[in-house]
This record gives sequence, structure tokens and C-alpha cells, in this order.
Amino acid sequence: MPASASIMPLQIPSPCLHMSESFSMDEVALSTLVPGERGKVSRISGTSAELRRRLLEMGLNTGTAIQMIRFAPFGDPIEIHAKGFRLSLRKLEAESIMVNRELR
Amino acid sequence: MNVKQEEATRVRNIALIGNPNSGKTTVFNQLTGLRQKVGNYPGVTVEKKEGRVPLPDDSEASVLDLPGTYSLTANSPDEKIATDILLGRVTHTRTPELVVCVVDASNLERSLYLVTQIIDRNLPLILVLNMMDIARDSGIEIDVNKLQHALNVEVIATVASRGTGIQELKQAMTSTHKATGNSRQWRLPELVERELAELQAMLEQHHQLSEPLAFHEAVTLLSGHNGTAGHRNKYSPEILDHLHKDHARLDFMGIDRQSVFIESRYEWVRRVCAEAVITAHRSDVTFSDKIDGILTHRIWGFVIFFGLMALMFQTIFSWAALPMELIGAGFDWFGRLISDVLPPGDLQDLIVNGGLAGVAAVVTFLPQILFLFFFLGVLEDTGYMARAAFIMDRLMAKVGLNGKSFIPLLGSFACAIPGIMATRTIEHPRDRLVTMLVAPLMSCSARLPVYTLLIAAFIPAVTVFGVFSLAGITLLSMYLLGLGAALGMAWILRRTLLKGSPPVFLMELPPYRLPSLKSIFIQMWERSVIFLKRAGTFILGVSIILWFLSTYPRFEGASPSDQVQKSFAGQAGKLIEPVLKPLGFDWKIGIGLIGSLLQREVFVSTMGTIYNIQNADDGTGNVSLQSRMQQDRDPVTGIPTFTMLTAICVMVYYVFAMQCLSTVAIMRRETNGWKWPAFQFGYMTLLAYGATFITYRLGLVLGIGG
Repeated sequence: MPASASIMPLQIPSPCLHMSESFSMDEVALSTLVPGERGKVSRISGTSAELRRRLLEMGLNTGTAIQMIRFAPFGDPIEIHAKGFRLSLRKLEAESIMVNRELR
Repeated sequence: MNVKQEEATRVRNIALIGNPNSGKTTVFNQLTGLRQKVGNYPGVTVEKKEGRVPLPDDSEASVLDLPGTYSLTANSPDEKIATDILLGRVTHTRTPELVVCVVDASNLERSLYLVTQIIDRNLPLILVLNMMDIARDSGIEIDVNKLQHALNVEVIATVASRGTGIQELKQAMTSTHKATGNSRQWRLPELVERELAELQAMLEQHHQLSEPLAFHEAVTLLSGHNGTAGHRNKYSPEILDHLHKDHARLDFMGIDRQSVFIESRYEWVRRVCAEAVITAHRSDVTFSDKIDGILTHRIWGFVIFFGLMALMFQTIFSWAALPMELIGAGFDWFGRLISDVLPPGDLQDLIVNGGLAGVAAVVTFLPQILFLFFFLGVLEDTGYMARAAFIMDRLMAKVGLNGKSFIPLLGSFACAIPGIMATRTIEHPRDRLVTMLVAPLMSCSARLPVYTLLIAAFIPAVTVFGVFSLAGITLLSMYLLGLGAALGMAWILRRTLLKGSPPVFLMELPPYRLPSLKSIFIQMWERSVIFLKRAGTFILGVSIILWFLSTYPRFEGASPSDQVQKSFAGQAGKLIEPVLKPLGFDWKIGIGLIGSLLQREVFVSTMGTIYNIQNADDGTGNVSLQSRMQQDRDPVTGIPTFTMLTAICVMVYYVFAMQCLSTVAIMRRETNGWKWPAFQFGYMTLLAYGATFITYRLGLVLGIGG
């Protein structure tokens, strides 16, 4: 226990680094992509810890490439492609997944 | 016992694990065939599927099919059991000696996440790389040797739906495998590594936990998705204090405690994949995509969905006709044989008109049930069910449920029991409860005999729109009525008793694939065994009791129909007749309703028994139950007992009424009390009475009363 306590002051606190990421210009919510558009996950926020864990465990980590495939007949839920599989989720949840949109 | 025999009788304990849709169940079915046993884990309501596998070295292994899961950190009851078994925390279930993990080769990166967690358990492991064909078709080549080397685990490539690689897997199961060893290959950031090692060491010391268990607990505690509150009684104050400081330190350093463990594992998985996977150029539009474009289309998607449902019920009706006639003829022949052997009298009457008539009436419906399970199995195995959930989610959201609830509801078309058990994939307890409460409104296979008997007897054989028979349309209407009632009830429950935030919907859409006929046939076999067992025990018992009740007390010289009317059953039917009169039901239907209170299909056997006794002496011995019901008249007024309207009313009653002891029992088990099953029984019976009353009155007004 003392070992880790002693090294603590030596580390550079990094919260500021995290903050800078969220100001990226083309960062949009996954729910706003149109079918065919791609992006990379930047962060998941504003959702329950449980749902966040499940999304992360299914592979939607920072940097994961995502493609919007389609909307269901009435516009919700959506279908996305990530890491070689298809996932469907509602727009409400997709709003908490921020992606850096790939510019075309 | 000599050494060789001992070797041969030693049963190895193997656990089968994998992501949902990885083809795990297909692998299980290929390995075990019909040597399967379904039970429950003690204390929890998770289904326990076990099977025996004969191995090439003449030994036998016992394989446990664990619930499908994406990770070993999950909280749903199904996923938790998988975690606990691998940690040896489940009483009466031995820790597996070998773990077989099934992964979808076309989906390797995500599948390997679970594998990193299994490797951490330090158990002997074989990796089954399933669906190699689909991977190849979508341009993914995997170097099995390199993967084996990178993971340090034996890898077997299979196409389980075709049986490819199963023999190799069995061979691999015979040889002993070393535990994966204490060689965790994925690495955390240095600071987190240190905190983890400290906490793990403390857990090993203070609580005498084994190494893998201490590691698992340390990871869970540090990532802290439960907070520390839930662990207050489980851990020593020193550990809780230490943990509290760990959390503060990591949070201060800006480390996302939740994602750091997940991302570190994925980081390693990426490196393994980079080494072992050769992904050729992937075309953007796959075969699955092209089909999906149509099946989830805003118009065609629904047209196809309802078309498929109509086709399904239509074929159940027409294809099953011939085998049903054959079974009926078989029972008739058997009945005549007994009549020839036994002297006329009460014994002959009991066997032929009591037991045999009742059982025959129900067993005749076996072909229809088999067809139903065949269709549902095909829809599930091809991946269509997930698409149905996808297009239906919006509708389900409207009533406060989600697309995932749609699958248990669709499954309840077969039987509410597996339907209710399938709700365990729904994470939120309240969403799950609503789904369970409305699931028995879906018309199950036990209603099918009631519907088809009445439709065949009283719905005219007319063709509509040139293709569909009126019989098929009527059957479909009953199913749609049940579906509508289920959705309506969910809507009401969501706004009254079970309010709450709308549920989360997160569902994988598996690629389309050819169904494994073997898996489907195994399921059909299991269902028919259960069905026949019930016919041979419960229904036989009820039929015999009913025969007694409708034969005694004896009145000398009374005509057979008079006799039935004056019997115990007749008196009971007469007693409740005033309650049933507003529904257009007479006392005979009353006997049917009471008789089938515990099990719906008993209605059919009850009718079989009553009409057989009634007509025993009128020389119509060989006439079908249908025509007897058609010809039945009130002896005084001459009004037919059954008209088309009565038949529709009886069907409507069965759409809504909860006449199933097994459903009550499973609801009690799943909800852990009598409150919800009692509520369910009450609301469904009221609904049945109300809906039948309205149907009857409406029918009279429209003049279809006859």
C-alpha cells in the first residue's frame, strides 16, 4: 500500500487530456449518422454504468470503427456494424455513444 | 474393478460456454444428440442443460451447456450462473475439468473478449472456432495454428451445423489438457497493475481465496460497477478501506476504472487478431445485407412477417391432416381390438371410452405440435427471429416493452413455459415481469387441439382470396387475437401496476444461416416426449376420473344422453350452467371448462369421453368426435349444442383463459411467490369471460348464432 501511495505525486494528472478529446470538431452522437456513414467511437457518456459496461464489453471501445447500416421501419431502433457484427439499439441509447464522424 | 474399467467409467466433467449466436447449442446437440437432460440449478431458475458424449476412446464425458454470455462480469441471472460455475461457486455443480469455448469465427475479435476472461480462470480450455464457412464466405481467413500459438490454447475449427470438425473435437476432449496456466498475457497500465496485485494478495490472505477467484474479485472490486456498498459484509474492513483509497487514487489519475479493464483486454485481443486473422477485402454488401434490405423493409418487412405467420399456421393445418387421421385410425383399431377381447361392461367401457378415447383425442394433435416446433426452430436458427424483433421493437416500445420481449412472446406460441423461461434474456426485472404476465395470452400449442377440433367441425370449408382457407384464416385470427391481447395488457400494466422508464434494447443481429436440421429435430423430439408423457399420465388420469364422474351414479333404463346429464359431471356442469349461459355455453361445455382448468387440451379429451359415453349404444361407434359434436342436439328443444358462434366463443374463451397448471407453477418459481401467478390467473379469467360475452352478444346481433 505505501508503494503506490508514494508514487502518486510523480504521475501527471491526466483529466485534462480526457477533456480535450471531447472538443473534437466532428464529434457527433451515433444516432445522427445516416445509413452508410462511418465513424470511430470517442466516448460513451450520459448513460447508466451497467449499459456502458455492456456496450464496452461488446467492443464499442474508444477508436472502434462503426458504420450505420439502417433504421428500422419506423425510424427506431437502428442497426450498426462494428467489429464484424451487427448490433441493434435504440436511438435513445445511441445518443450516448459519441463518434468522430469520418469525413467524405 | 481393474484399471482399464475404471478408466472407461470415469466421466469427465466438461462445460460448454460461448457468446449468444456462436452456435454453442448446435455444437452441444452435435456432441450429445438425444442424450440430453434438462433441469435447473439449485436455488435459481436458470435452465440447466446437460448431456452425455461418447468419446472415441470409449470413455464418456458429461457436458454442461452454460447459458450464452458476452462476458463473465454480467449481472443477469443467466450470465451470472456461467461465471459462478467457472469459479466453482455453485453448490451441487462440480467445477468443470475442461472448458470448451465456442466462438464465432466470423466475429473473432468480440468473441475473444470472453476467452480472455475464461483464460483468467486458469482452467483447461479448448477453443472451438465455429462457423468457419460463414467466416470464409465473408472473406475472413484465420490461421488456426497462429491463433493456437498466440492464445496458448488448443483450437479446433468446426462448422457445427454440418457436423464438420465434431469428431476432431471429441478426439481433443479425450486427451488431458493443462490448465491455461498463470500466464495472463493482457496487460493493464502500470499503476492499475500494481493496485490490482495488492488487492489480489490481500484477498488471498484475508479471505483464503484461490488465485483465480481472488483475481476475479479484485478486478470486480476495482472496476467498481457495484460500488463498495454491496460488499460491506463480504470483505474485511482493511480490504474495504484499501479499496476506497484505490478508487480515489485511480479516479484522481483520470483512469476510467470501468473501461480500463475492458480496453486492456481488447488491446491484447487486437494483437492476437492481427497475428492470426488474414482479412481479405470485405465487400460492403454481404449476402445477409441483401436479405436484410428486404426483410426489414418498411413495407415488405411487415408483409413478409405476416405472410410467414399465415403460411406457418396454414401449413400446420393442412400438412398435419394426414398423420392425424392415421393416429386417429390407429387408436380406433386399438379400441375395437380391446372391445373384441374384453366382455362388454364397465371395464370395457372404462378402457375404451374412458382412458383410450381421452388419450386418443389429445395424442392425435402430436403432428401439429411437431410442425409448430419445426417452424419456430427454423425461424430461430436462420436468424429471422432477431429481425422480427428488430422490426417489431417500435411496436413493442409503444406498449412499454422492447423487441427482446417479442422473442419470448413469439416462443409462447409453442408453449408459455419456454416462453416465460426465455424472458431471462431481458435484463430489467420489471420489463421481464410484464413480459411474463402477458406471455400466456399468446396462443400456445395446447390451445391448438381446441382450436382445430372446433374449426374443423364448425367453420365452413371455404376458400378466401383464392389461396387461403377460411379455416386457416380463423386459426390465424385466434393467434392474432392472443397477440393483440398480450400487447394491450402490457400497455395497461406499464401504465398502472408496473410503471417505469422504458427498457433498454441491445440485440445482436446474427448473420443468416442455414438451420441445423439435427438441432431442430432434437428439439421436436424433446417436445413430443414431454407431450406424450403428459398424455400418458395426467390426461389419462383426468380422462379416467372424468369417465367415472360422467358414468356414475348409474340410472337403470336411462338413455345414454340422459345418463351423462344425470351423472356427477353432468350435475357439476348443470351447476355452473347459469354462469356460462350468458356466454352461450351449455353444461357439456361447462364440464369441458372445469376439466381443462389445469390443462387446456383436456377440453378435447373431455369432449371425446363425454361424446363416446353418450353415444356408446346408438350404433355410431365409429363416427368421429367432430361429427358427433355437429349432430348433438338438446334432447328437449332440439337446438344444437354447438353452432359456429358457440365454437368461436369457446375458442375466444381459450385465447384468454389461463387454463394451465404448469404455467402457474413456473410463474410461482420465476417470481418467487404466489402473488403474480394469482394476479395472472385472475385477470386472464376475467378477460376470458368478458371477451367471450362480448363475442357472443355481437355474434347474436350479427345473426351468426344459428
